[in-house]
Amino acid sequence: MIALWENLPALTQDILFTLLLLSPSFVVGVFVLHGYAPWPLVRAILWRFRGSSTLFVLLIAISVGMGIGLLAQERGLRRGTAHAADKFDLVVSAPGSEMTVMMASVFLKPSDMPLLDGETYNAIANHENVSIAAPLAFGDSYGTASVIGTTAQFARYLADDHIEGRMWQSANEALAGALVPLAVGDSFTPAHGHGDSAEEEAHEGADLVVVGRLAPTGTPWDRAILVPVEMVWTVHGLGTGHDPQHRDQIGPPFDPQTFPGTPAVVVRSEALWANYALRSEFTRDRETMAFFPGAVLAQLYQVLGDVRQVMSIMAVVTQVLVAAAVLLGLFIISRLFHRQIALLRALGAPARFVFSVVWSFGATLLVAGSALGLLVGFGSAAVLSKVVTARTDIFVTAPLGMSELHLLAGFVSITLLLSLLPAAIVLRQPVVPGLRA
Amino acid sequence: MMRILVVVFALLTAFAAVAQEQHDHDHDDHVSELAGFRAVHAWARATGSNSALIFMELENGSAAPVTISGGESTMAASARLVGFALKNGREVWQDIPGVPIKPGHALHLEPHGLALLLGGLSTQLKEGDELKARLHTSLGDLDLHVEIEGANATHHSHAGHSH
Repeated sequence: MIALWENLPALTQDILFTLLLLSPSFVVGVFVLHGYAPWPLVRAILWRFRGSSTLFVLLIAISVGMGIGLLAQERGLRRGTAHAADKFDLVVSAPGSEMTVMMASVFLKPSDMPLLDGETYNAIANHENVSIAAPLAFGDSYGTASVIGTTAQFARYLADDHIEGRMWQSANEALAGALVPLAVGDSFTPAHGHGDSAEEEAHEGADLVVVGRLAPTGTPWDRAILVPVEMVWTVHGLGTGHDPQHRDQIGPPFDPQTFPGTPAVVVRSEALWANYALRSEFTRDRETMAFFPGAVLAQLYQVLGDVRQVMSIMAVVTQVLVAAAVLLGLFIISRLFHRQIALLRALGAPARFVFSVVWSFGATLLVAGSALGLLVGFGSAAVLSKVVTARTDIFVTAPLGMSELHLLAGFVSITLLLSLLPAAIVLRQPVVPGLRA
Repeated sequence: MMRILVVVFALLTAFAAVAQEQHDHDHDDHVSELAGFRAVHAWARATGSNSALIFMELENGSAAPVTISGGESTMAASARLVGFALKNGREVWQDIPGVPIKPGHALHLEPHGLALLLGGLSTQLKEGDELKARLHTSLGDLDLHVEIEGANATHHSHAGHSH
């Protein structure tokens, strides 16, 4: 049975699971409504108490929508961060924390890291299976944009070779990320450091000209300014990384004797298998650390996955509590029309008919609130995505997925079962005092 | 007194022999070798599902490059060489036709990297059990003794031991 389930396509599994979650509400609905047509009376009650009913529907919709929106957002953030790491197949650095190096190289949040020397860089760059070995140099900024030193080959690869303007040809030329507020032809002087502590005058005289703009990537690199790595090394007094005969050269090969060091090398191989082999080859005790940023993110997602499960349970519990409050409200509303209910029963309406009227009234509010909640969830996820994208520069989209539908289906089933209670309580009230009310 | 010492010595010698035998047995279980090409510490996670990933350390001690390309097991319908990738925030395992290992080089099949993916498992894998499998290499098939570790294990329980 388990094997049969696991062999089903994922979409089929999702649809079947949704139907399974909804099945209790179908069974209850068929059982309660069988043989009766309570809808004209339910419509009349809804219209008579339209203010209260609308309020309840909105309450359910907001509760359901916020839960769904948050869960969709978590998935959107996961996709966005994974997309940000797409261009970083393999990163090689000095041994240390993979998370620290990933945060620096992929998300441009650098911190102090040991450097790889020229011999090590050349061993990576000259490996037969390596097509790109881009050294990164951090530490400078312009406004809120990080200034990153690297190679022209990596800049092209990052933007899929979509560059408005042209590639740099000398050390004082730069490429602006898609969201950097600099136009082609603008000049700027990088500051040493980032944020409030940046030293604006530290690199005075190191004027750079923007000669190209990279296509949007949906990653933090959109807010970065890319410059030849030689420029970063030179303004920090570290030389150019080339021997004196090639001091004007831009890009690799570098001279291992004068190579100032790099905290991370982004490595790419054309052959799929080679990335795995390179990871094994450059994972060396006390020498180098090679890792897939995607693998680090996957481990992070495993922790987040546990948080997501907790969030899902909390969302369901919160929504059930809201539903319980709404059902209590339904019971109070039913007190408003209990005279009409008593009259129905006095006229000889079967108890099951009265039961079906009260249950259908509650079910209508719950289903309408849940459906509206789906729209609220869609909207809240879209708004949250824009806020997160603006704050992190990671392009996040959060379309609703099957897991959100599962949550909604579970909520509908539980609350439709719970709404049997007010209907049963109304039936237990005596008829004669009701008629006198 | 002398008699007691002799008995104690005899017991210690017997214990050491048993321990050595046990170690040799462990060594045999943890290492498979074919013409200088070795697979060390093959392991998989306990699972109740019908698929499992096998990890191991491969060392090419032969004089020629060796290519690994997949495998087989009597307890599974298939055994494919796969590589980890992150697509849209989800973990996926993509087929890898083969990976060459140069002489004197090592290749690690490890979580979030390369692995041998068993599909259609005929039985549940329980912690402490052993699974028989074969690794297809350009030298021929290499028998693997795969130890089943805990469901959340990240490495072989003897990882770090040299063999």
